[in-house]
Amino acid sequence: MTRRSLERAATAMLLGLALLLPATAMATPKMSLTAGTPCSACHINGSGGGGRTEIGWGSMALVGATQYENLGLESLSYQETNLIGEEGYVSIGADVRLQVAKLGAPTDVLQEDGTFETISPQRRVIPMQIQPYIGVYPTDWLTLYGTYAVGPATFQGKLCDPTYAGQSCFAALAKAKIKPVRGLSVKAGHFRPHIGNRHDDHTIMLNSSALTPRNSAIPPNYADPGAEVHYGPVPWLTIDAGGFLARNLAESVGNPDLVKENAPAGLARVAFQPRLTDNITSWIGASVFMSGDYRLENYFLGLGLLEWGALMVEAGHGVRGADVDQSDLNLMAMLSVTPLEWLTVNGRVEQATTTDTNGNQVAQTQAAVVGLEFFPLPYIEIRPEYRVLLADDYGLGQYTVQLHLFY
Amino acid sequence: MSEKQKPAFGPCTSLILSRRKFLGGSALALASVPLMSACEFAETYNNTDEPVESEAEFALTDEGLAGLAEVGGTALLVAGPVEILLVRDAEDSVLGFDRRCPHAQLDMAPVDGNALPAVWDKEARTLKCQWHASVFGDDGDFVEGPPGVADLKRYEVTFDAANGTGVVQILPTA
Repeated sequence: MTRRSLERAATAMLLGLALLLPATAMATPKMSLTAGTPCSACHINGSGGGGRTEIGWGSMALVGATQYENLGLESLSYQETNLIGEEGYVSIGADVRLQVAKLGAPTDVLQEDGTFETISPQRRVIPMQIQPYIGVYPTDWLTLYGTYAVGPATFQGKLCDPTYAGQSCFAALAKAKIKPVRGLSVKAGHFRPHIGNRHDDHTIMLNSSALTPRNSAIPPNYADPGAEVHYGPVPWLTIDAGGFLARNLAESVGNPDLVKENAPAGLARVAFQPRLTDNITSWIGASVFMSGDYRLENYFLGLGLLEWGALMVEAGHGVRGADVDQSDLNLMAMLSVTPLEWLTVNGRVEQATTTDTNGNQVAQTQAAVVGLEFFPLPYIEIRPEYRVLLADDYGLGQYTVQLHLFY
Repeated sequence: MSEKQKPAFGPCTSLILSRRKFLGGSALALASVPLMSACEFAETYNNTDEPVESEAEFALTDEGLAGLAEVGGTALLVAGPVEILLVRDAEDSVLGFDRRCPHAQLDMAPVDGNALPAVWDKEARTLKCQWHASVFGDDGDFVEGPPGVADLKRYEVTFDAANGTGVVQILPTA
């Protein structure tokens, strides 16, 4: 058998494995539960989000209410792999998201007669994400990964000027398997620590303060320089530990008394993922990420029925100040059901509560979201949602629609 | 294409679906939008019956306005139900803006509990909300930042540098 034949056979096996996974095996946390696979099965960075592995890419390659060839678009129809070239040492990918939503909060606008009128924010079309990925696989034990987040400033000639405090415009890492020890790998570079579960909706309040529910301490595309060790000796256990420099975290927290720029930051995470029966998956785990006088704890519990749905309960506990000047306790319960391969129904409820040093409640915010994930064609997702946000000083209920193109 | 002709993709064979399902799913997704839009609401819970004065006087010696002592400094002026962010943009000038950034209504005032008060750039003559990097000109016009941000409401301010006193015009004069 020639090397090329071997590569083709390996590719076919990988692809076959990918296709045998449930069609919903997109490695968002809920999909990880319904697929019974860890985040690393589908995402190159190993901790979820971003560029997809060949399995992750392949698991969505045919997920659509119809296929391109049925619409006369044979040139866009099914490909065997996202690897480039005969050697298959490079893979590419991308996420593009457009969101139609009302940004901001209702406002009492002062009228000329001295009265106030409550004005709802305007609905806008927002380019949320334009992000290409590249993975390079020079050996079977080394992976190089990079991504660049195109932002509004990019079009003004500023290559790196992220929109949100603590955002990073790029991530780059090298991940090496330490072969003598089963399940041991190390990654180093500029990347997001493996904090809790990485959801693909940055409005989830788990890592926010109830005072600023739309402003997560871990913003989308957060990354800092550092290194992380991952140990997964058996399929049902993963342990992560890492050290970072809190460059963007300091900016995100926004208080140098709590987190100084480039202060050391540490991460520890453990997750158990026992499969309870042939069809029922589960996970339970926790992580802590801390720097200076800031600490973020995440707890997660999940139950999944393969190829059908998942129930997740998560908590985020943020502590600001050595003497606990302020702390957050944020809770979320999410139910996701996939009646058809190309249609998922999601619902979640959240509550974020911020208390002061004496335990008095400073603010409380509740949120609820119901929506669909509809895949009309492979690599195209339409996500209509209805969202309610009830803060102490305002309430907003709105529909949103997201168009998500991915590869 | 007959069943026998379909590629042998195991359980994923069923993913090759008909145009009817494509249209049905699209119709469902589209139909959900008007249904959801009928349930939209927007309300505030900080309504007050306190009357709005047409103007508000201030002095640099007032409590909480110490930030205006130097050019580039900011301070919060509360005039009944109206909250104004004052900016000392020059020795002889003070600007007045709405306290909250129109992007996400986050606080731009330099008060206790606000980790990210807005910053005045003396050179560029812009106000930057540090929460999400929205930047506004000295006239309140949106300059740069997240997409879709409205202009920041600006109040006319008359400032007497010699006396260190000023007046904010809250309601338009007749």
